[in-house]
Amino acid sequence: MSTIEDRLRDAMAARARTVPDDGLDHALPAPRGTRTRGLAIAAAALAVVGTIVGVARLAEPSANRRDVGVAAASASGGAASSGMVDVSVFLCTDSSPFKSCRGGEVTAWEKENISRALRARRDVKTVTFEDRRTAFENYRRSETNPRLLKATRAEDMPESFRLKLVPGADPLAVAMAASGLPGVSSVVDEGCLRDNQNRPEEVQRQCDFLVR
Amino acid sequence: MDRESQWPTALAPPGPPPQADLAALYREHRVGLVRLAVLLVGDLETAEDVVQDVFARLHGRRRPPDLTLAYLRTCVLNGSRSVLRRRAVMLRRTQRVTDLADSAETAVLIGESRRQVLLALARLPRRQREALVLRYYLDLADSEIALVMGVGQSTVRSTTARALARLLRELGEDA
Repeated sequence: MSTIEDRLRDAMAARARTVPDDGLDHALPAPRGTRTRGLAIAAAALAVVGTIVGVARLAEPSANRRDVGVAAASASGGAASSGMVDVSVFLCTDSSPFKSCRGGEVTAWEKENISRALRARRDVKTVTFEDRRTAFENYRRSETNPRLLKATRAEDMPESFRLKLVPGADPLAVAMAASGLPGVSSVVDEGCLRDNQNRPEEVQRQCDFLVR
Repeated sequence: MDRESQWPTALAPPGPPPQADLAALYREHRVGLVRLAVLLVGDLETAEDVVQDVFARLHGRRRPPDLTLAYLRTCVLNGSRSVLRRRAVMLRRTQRVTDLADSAETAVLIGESRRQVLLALARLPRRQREALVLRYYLDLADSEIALVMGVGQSTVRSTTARALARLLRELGEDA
């Protein structure tokens, strides 16, 4: 058996070798304090997921002990009062990375149109509008990455309509219909996400409908 | 307790000139610093974040006149400490470190015996782990370790000795 020092050297060298030298020309990180557009967009995109997962975690008592801290931290306010949302319809911001948002931020007219179309559906029970401030507060409660928290502002958050469906309604049909409306960036089947909350991200991604 | 501001520039080994191009430093040392960080924090993603953060902070006023590799290493040490502190707060009541914050893939790549060593390393007190990484991974001399860690050379020696003894105890049990 080799000495402890040799074992250490060997183990550390092996661990270090697992960090690849990809030979790519990595760009120097931007100065701290100046917000980069990219990070803000990433933060906003994650914020959407964060909000949803936050709601999902609250909705069901979590078996995973590590989730408890997060859930407890967001136990009051928007996320809790929004209850069990079945479908979330996110609206375009001027930085939405989705194809359907090429035209920029959702207009007042589009918003009105989306609201009317959703309320007109028989399978939709309630439609609640979530503004940026509320979305931001929910996000701040559920996000634990301090860098994202720092980079994100209320203006980065998307507005959304939160829908509850009548019992027995098909969330897929509602999501598909909503995703076709102008000004909609993406639609999330929250029930699907709740069912798959402990599954890998690829599985969870099947619960959202990006507008193509 | 801001060690960066107390950095003894007179002691710093000769490095790139004062106007050293930060981008060039980043290109040259990024991978090495990520590897250092991965041994301190345990997972690649966090290690990359730590190094990114170090360079993001180095823009502008807060940069010392001569930016050396030793200084960058000190920054990585400091950054890793902050990460570990935050993580400790999150995990304190839930669990003890029982596994590397690492992918299964990496674990297989490394092998069981090495994994045991790295696990024991991760359970050491922060300073002991830092001293061992600087000594046995980077092969730094006592004087250089003292510089990077911001402690005296005798402290480096005693810390290293205690760390080795403790590792031996931990690893001896399951041998």
